[in-house]
Amino acid sequence: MKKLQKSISKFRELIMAFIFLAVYVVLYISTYHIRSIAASDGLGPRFTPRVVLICLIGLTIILMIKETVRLVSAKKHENRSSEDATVDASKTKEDKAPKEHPALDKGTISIISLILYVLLLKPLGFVLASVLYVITQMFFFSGKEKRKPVLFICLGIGLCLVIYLIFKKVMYIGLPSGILSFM
Amino acid sequence: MSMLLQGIINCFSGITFPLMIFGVAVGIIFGAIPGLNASIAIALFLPLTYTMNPITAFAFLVALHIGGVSGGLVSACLINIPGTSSSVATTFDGSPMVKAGYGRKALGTGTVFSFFGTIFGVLCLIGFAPLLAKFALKFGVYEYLAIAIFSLSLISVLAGKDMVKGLLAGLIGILVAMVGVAPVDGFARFTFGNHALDGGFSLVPTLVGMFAIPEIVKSAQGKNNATVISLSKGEHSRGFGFSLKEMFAQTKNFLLSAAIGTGIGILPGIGGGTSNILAYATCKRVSKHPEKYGTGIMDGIVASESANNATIGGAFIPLLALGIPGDVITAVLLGAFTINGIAPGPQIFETHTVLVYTIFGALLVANLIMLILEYFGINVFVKILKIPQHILMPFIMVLCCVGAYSVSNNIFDVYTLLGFGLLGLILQKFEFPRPPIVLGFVLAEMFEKNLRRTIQFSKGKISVFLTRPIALVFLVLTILILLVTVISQVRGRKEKFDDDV
Repeated sequence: MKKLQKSISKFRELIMAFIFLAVYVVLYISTYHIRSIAASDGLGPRFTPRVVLICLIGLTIILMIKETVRLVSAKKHENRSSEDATVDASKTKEDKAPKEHPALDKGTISIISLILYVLLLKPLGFVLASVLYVITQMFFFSGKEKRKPVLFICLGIGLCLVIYLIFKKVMYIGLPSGILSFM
Repeated sequence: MSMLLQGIINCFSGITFPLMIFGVAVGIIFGAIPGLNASIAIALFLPLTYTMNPITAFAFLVALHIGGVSGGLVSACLINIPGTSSSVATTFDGSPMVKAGYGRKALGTGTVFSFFGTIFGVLCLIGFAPLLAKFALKFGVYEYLAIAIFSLSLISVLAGKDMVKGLLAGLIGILVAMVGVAPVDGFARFTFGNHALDGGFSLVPTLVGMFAIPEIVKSAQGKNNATVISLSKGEHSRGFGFSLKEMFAQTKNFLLSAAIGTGIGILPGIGGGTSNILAYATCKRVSKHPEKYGTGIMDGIVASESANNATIGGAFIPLLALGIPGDVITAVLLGAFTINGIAPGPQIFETHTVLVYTIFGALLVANLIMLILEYFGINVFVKILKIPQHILMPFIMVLCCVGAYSVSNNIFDVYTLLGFGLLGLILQKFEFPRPPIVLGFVLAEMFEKNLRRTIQFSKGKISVFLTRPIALVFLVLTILILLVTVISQVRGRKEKFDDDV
């Protein structure tokens, strides 16, 4: 498992470039479905997206070649210096990633809670979704020594309600009320 | 001159002045909250002005405008999230400066040069409005296309260390802007049958998402906890945080940025969202130390803030002299003129002289109020940074969502915010620069629309540019910028190769 993780982190730039390339190709193919009539300018609505996508595909391929060259030269460098035990592989770019893993967990939780918050904003309503999101975030990221549940709950409920009321009653921006439709 | 003085005096009559102070303060708050901006503030408060006399009404709306544009720098500097699209480039140097412990200097620089930027734009408005409006009328599709090409060439300046990634970022920005109906013929592109995408992605949620979400995640990872240990490092820890010498050293930078800001403001269809980043890229291009841009230097903040505030005066030129709104804010203001039974245009300087000069006076007075409020506000603003990140950042996210939702009272804009936040995270992870994405995004429509119209009108003949001197100048400038970039890239590679050898 660790080996797989290491391989992924080593080739992550290449993997990312490949995914982007696939997206660009799919988007290029989808340009054939853009409706068009004989345009008076001779270009039509397909022209510019195609030019942009061709440039993106070309540049992504250049990026992949650059990355491959970098990986090959890093591999050569690694082999050459393998006899020298003092050489620390962490100097190379791809081996920096595992060091970030402790922070990655918090980052992942943050991203997941962000996605959930935005997705629940409409069904739950602004107040409920925001209160849940804010309290969860404060609770997870405060660290044990700074964790003050009562303060977090009071702040979460109080400030989210204040924001909701200011926007709804003062600025007449009707934020989603969700299941609390009486508000 | 006496008319201008009368206009200024009008701002102090009755309830007008207190309303202006309120307007600037509210504007600053709207500008500082990511997602909300001056146009939302003006649109919200417009109904309040129905019962006011035109002089008070316009002075109040102008105050909201000035506050809204200037307030964006607060969040741009303090939390690295642009409050409005006009302050995107302020984040590039404002945030690193704050993180280095120079919070007062960053906010002070932004405030003072916002003040000077507005003065520059307003002086152009007062002195040359009819002349500049006539000049703006000379801008047709060819000139707009040339400006778009020139501006897009500045992506090479903003690309950073890796030119390929910089260009890719710029093209991603252009591609994203192509979602929705195509200009000229209006056929839907990349919507995949989803009608919510027909209108494309709104500028505000897109930019706020791209900047705010990576910052919030970074903060959750504990990477932002070192933010500002000392807020006022250095010898100038009071006042605006910088010396007069430092201020005067920015004269060239300021004049160039303010001229760009005013110029962009005059041209209908382009606004502060474009001018700040264009001024930043141009100042970086002509700078003797371009490598320092993005590390937290005054030059970057001066470029962005002078330009976006100078755009205010510039945008009033076509509004007053021709009755053409240059951006969303002036479009709302045009509505305010209509409500008051006034038709802006060449005649307005004669038929409504008092009102016109009151607007000029209000721009200057509101600008002064902004300077004073932000000066005293610096101490309050920097205290925000003392709030623990785990408490501050979740509320910033909530405000970003509210701001995005307020753009058109539509949940789709909140999804846009999230989507572009995730894209921003991926691009940040793989070290793609974000400034070219912004430039590509804001210029794509202008480029494509005018490219297609140019080909329509010229029947595909490039030689038409030889008969359009303004367009030709911009195209020559584009070629020069690209040449300089290629030469510096080749030279950089050669030096790297020599070092390796």
